[in-house]
Amino acid sequence: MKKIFMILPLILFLIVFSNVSAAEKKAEKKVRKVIHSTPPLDYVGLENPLSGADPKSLPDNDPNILAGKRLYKATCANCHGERADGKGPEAEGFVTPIKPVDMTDPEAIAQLDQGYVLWRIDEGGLDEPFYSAMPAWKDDFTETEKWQIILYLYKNAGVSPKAKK
Amino acid sequence: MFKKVFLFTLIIALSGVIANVPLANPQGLTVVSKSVKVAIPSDPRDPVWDKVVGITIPLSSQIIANPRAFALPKGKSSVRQVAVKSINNGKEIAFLLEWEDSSENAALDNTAAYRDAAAIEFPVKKAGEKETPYFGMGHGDKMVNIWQWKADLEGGKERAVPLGASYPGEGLKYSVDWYEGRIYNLPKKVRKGPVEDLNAEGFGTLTLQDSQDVMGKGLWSGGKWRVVFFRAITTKDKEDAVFKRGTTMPIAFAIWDGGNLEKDGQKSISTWHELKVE
Ligand code: HEC
Repeated sequence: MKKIFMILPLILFLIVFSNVSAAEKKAEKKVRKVIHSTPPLDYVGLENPLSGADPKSLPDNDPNILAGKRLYKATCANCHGERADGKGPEAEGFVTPIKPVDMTDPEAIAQLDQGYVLWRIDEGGLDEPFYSAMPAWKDDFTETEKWQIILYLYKNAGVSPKAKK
Repeated sequence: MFKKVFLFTLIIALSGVIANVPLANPQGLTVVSKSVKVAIPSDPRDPVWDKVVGITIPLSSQIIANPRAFALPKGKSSVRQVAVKSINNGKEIAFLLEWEDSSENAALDNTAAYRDAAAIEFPVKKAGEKETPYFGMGHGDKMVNIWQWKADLEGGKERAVPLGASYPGEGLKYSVDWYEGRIYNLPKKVRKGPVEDLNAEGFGTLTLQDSQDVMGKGLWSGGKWRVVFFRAITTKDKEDAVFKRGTTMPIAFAIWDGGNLEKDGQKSISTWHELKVE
């Protein structure tokens, strides 16, 4: 009987410990795939002026989707891939701190609203906490073009933006 | 009985700790600078290199900042990978870069901007500084040290282009005297080799150092460049990369293919990887 009292806490300890260590291992094996931060106030709660609909539900031949697709293919697809999987022809050299984002990942743009995505397109990864290869496109596209790219980004990835805060 | 259980617990706990050792840099690669006991060879063909295990670093077109490689006739840069080896003997450190390039672009003339070239980049950290500069030429006051080898300065031709002379397609060739508030040209010094020792603190800030400490040699044959860079492991220059045996630091690479009309920002690049100095 006495023995039980001695062994029981040890068994409990073992169970708890092995669970913790398994969880830790999982977290470490899981390579960081996105870096999400807080956008500047100017970008908070912005609505897409081209469409109030969920971009995922827009038809393939929507003029904004078609325009966004053309721009995406010429630029973004080089890193993020034509199929939005993060495996574009120029992705390989840009592996640190993280690779070009797989837009279909539920942890990626599905967690962001369209204003936040506009911020990332404007400023890229030149600043903290990113310091990444994501280019700043501020001066490369008109505002309309940027919103068209954003619509196509969600449509192409087959995910919906997070409701704006 | 208690002893047994205790031992068992201890073993489990220890194995848990060991298995949990995290990988330092799961996405980047590590260039190991092998410790050697021989003199550092200046020839890229030296057999010393045959015994060194290298690593292949993938490269992509520079499409982050303007002028992007999109504007090249082919819409992209050509070199997709560079094989890297490194050795050090405690006094000097050397890097061997090898990459495929079907044409040798090494003519020294007025269009010399379209030359084959290669660069290695390191952060320059001030004492106590933790933050790593942006991989693309540094940022703010976070400085990088860039060693750039230029094919058109090979084979003694470097003497034809003194440091500080006007020369198309390179970084700023002046120093700023902040105290006097003026810009002056660097004294026209004779070059010692085909490698320039440079600093940058952001796009468009590439500056030639007053103290040129890096040597090198490149050879093209059979559709391949082999280029050695070497430097004393320590220098007195505060703007130089600092190497310490037994430590790791960031390292990045760039290659220009003159045959593809690449120059300045139009090149192949990598983001930061890791250099481990044995
Ligand atoms: C040179 C390669 C490259 C190109 C070209 C590129 N990106 Fe990126 N992008 C990255 C990398 C690397 C990341 C991950 C690091 C980061 O978030 O800064 C990223 C991240 C992003 C993110 C953040 C996603 C998230 O969940 O946090 C968005 C949005 C994005 N890119 C959109 C675009 C759009 C739109 C274009 C085209 C206009 C584009 N990117 C072109 C490399 C690229």
